[in-house]
Amino acid sequence: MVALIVGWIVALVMAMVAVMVLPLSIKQAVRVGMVVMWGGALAMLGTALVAPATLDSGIMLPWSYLFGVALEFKVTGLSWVLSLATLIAGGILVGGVTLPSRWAVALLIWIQLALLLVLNAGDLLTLFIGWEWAMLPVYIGLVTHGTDKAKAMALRMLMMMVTGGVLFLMALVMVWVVSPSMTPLSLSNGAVLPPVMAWIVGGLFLVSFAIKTPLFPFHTWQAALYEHCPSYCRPLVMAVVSKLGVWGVLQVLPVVTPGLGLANAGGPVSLLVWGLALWVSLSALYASVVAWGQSTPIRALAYMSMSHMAVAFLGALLGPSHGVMVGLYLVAHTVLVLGLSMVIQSQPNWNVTGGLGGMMGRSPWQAWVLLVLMLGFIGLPGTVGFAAELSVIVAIFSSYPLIIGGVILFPVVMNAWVGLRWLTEMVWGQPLIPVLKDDVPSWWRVALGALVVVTLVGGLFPWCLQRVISVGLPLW
Amino acid sequence: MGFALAVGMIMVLITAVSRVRFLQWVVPFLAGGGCLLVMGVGVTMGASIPVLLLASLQTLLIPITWTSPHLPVHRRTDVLALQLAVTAGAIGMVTAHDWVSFFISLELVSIISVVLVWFGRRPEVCIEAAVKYFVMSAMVTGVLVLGMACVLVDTGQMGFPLVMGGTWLSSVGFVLVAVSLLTKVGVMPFHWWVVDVYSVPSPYIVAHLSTIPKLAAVVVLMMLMGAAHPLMMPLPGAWVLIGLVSALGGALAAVVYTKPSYVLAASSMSQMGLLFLLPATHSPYMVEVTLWGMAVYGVTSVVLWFVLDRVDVPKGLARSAPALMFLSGLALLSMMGIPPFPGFLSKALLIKELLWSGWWVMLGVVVSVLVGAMAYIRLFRTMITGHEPPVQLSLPTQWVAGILLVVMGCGTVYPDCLMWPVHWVSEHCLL
Repeated sequence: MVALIVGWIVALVMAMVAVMVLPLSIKQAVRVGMVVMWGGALAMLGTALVAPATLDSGIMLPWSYLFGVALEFKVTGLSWVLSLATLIAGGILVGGVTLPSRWAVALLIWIQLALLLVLNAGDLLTLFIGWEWAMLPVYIGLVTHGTDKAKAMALRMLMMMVTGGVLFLMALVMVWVVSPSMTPLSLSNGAVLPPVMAWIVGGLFLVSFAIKTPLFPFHTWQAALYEHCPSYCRPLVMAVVSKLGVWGVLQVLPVVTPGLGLANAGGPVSLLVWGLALWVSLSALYASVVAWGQSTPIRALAYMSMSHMAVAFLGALLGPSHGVMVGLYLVAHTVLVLGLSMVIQSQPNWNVTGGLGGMMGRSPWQAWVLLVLMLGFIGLPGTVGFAAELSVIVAIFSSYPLIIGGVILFPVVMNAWVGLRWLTEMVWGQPLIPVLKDDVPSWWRVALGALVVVTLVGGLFPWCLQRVISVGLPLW
Repeated sequence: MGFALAVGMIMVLITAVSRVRFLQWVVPFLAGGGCLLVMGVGVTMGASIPVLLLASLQTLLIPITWTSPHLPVHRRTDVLALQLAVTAGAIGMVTAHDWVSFFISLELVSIISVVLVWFGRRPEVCIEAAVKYFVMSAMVTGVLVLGMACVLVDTGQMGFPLVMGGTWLSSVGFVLVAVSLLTKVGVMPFHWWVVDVYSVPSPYIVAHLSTIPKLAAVVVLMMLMGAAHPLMMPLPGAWVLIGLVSALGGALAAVVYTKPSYVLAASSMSQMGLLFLLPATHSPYMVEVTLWGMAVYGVTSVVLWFVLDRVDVPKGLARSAPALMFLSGLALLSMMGIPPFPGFLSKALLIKELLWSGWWVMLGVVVSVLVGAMAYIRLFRTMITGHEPPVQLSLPTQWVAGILLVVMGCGTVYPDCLMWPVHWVSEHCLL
């Protein structure tokens, strides 16, 4: 499986260069995009069905012998599920949205490439490469195909990302220099660092991940990005790129600084760790309060998503023993946000107040899709969102003091309130446009239908997802 | 010094051949082949790594100069010959075994560089820039002679390697030599000539001037520091101060400027400043990391100047010439330090060496990298926005772009191919 993913990364690079440099028409570029994305998804699915044991594997590719630097890749159940979701989402977008130019196809392939690198990284360096690459195409998309407001916020967003990247790089170099391990950057065996150094490195990583997640006060770029992002990559950015911060915590912190995982801390738990937990939980609370005050669906979804990711962040800090729960939360959130962003984006008034008003009468099938996905998003029993949210909240309650658990309950309730307000508006609100128009392409409908099925089946049988996600857990 | 003479001979040969009209097409092949031959012989005979780097950069520059659309046909051989003469001087600088040969080589580089600056598209402003460069060169010469005299009087020694020791007079001498070389490199606060000289001549000339003489001056500085470190800078922390001032000042200036040539000029000060923080670390890998940084800077700088040479206005490059956009995008991302491009390893190694130099040094480095990144991002943004009509690239331009793309691609996929000669130097000390 890992050889397949590395090969597919190379194929994505070649496809991206071809689309950028060769004088292809937009149709030809879309075909290239469809082939590499759906081809990759099918190949991953096929390989997993034929040889499920390959889901837990890794390889190391020498990059520079002179400096002893290698690129390591590994595939776990969770990385496989998220990689598959990424490729499918990319395939849906390439085929389902109107692309302004062939550059848009190249940028979508670029995002896929970065995400595959991050999700399947076996060492800090590979993770860092994907980490840096993930936001560049988004920036280019904002600047080339975005509105004037998008261009204004693009630089702010990128500078935040570069700041996070520099902190990541400093932490990476510290691990490289200090760790006595022969493979200090590997995420498989862990870097044994002196306690003080572990805290410094952990702090740098945490701030970097907090910027990416984002947590308060590093969140200023996120809602604006979701609002102004070009339509062809918005669902992908909202569904997958937004998970990278928590993914980083899940992958890096337990390895670099095992002491930060509360479950492993032992002895008197440091005040700093509790302060950290309080910060993250207050970030979740802040985001949910701000979501409640938002006027447009997309901004509300951005802040609700930020609140959810803060909850996941808190769960990820618990360490490897709770990895499956956080993994399930990430997968569920990816599916739900992908569907929600697709539905909202397909509405003609998605970016204005009351944009979803009267949707049930205007486009019933989309309204039902939105209903199911939103109920999943706010954690209603019977959906995948419920199973995921419940498991993480139970873990938080059982490991952190009651006050942290109490604080975390508030955003959950607030988000549910915001979601129900949406649904009320959707069913009983006044439509902003009198003409009922429902011209969503069939491709889009099939994708949304599939996401609804995953939401419901995942809610009824969450253990199926958990079983796949838990493959390779000992490697964490 | 033999290598310098060899390059000089190539220069004489191509000048002679170019007098015969029907043999003019041979000139670039003769020059390029000659440089490759120098490299080959250098590798066989164990030449020092800077010689190989200089020869390889010069080989890369030959097709850029020869195919430049702004260079009149009757001037091609002249410019190429002058560039080879500068490279011969630069090789002479890094292979000098005594102060006299070093001085002569430096003068060769300086005087011919003045002539090259003069060879621009707009003669009226080129003359001004050339005069400025000439004044700077004359001043450098004066300071250098004074410094050499101080060392000579104190130690009575003309030859390299330099002995460790000497009195305050030697210290003064070394500081003066360092000042002259820092001026040559264009590090703040010795940078007053850089922006003029970078923005006025044609880009194919700047591509040469911003890489070859700089590489030679940096190498000589590092050699001197390696040999006589305590004498080089009596004031502790002075190197750090110069490095930080240049890194931060250059990055800030790059953000302020909007013209691409100005941005590249200012960013070069920042890049050089970062390298000059290394002496403060007393790291055994100082020379190695510096050379790697210079090699990467040289290649990316050549790529960017090549693109500026082929398109007058870089705005909307993504639509007017996607291939050149791709190439310059690689170079800009590399200069920003985005992995996995060669500039990333250069920055990562620099941070690795500087990690324990104090938190304020690291803070300065981080701030300068971030501010510099803003300047590169803005340039990048200029290139990807705008709807310019497509530009039909000439066949030679396509070939040269292809060569540069291969070099950048190889440096990305397998950095050792750019790095191996640099690494080798740690095992075979320069002096």
